[in-house]
Amino acid sequence: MVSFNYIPSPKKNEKGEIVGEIYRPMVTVRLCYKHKISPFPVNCILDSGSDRNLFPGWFAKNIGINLKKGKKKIIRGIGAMGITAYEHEVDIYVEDKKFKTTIDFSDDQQVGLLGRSGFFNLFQKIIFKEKNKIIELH
Amino acid sequence: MKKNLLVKYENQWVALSSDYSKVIEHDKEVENLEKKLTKQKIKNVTLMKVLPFDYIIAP
Repeated sequence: MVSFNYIPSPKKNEKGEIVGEIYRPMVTVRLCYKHKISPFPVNCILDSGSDRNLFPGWFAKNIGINLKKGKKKIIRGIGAMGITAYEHEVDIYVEDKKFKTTIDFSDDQQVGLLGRSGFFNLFQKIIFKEKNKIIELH
Repeated sequence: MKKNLLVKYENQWVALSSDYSKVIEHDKEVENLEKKLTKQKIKNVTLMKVLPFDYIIAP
């Protein structure tokens, strides 16, 4: 079992004043492609509402992937316009455990999202402990 | 992590110390942040995008 703490981010109201914080469930991962591993681990949002993994394009380029050689696709959020992404097979490390997975990379994406297909399905059980602000990956 | 640690870094990429107690380096672009870290030979950090503080995520 591996656990991670939720990360607090300041929250602004309509007037632009900071009025507290939003805690987001984040998991630290590293990506690897053909034995080239990302130089730094990165915190990604664990997103149970996301069908798939979606990462900023930089993280593909950083491990030697030619972004546009992947299968092109349009990713849509709820009520949002689509963004262009390219699918690639990579290895993903969670602490010292390595998994094969598929990630869609897009230069229009700001933050890494870990979705159900390609991340949640790598584990037997994922627990969100909202009160304690802890995620457990089993 | 301290609740107010990220207040100065809205919409930037940050490199957090291994215990998440401080921001070691930051930049608007993750490419530039990695270049700064590599140049300074800083290794034991975790990268994170600090989303805009009025940003609400929905799937």
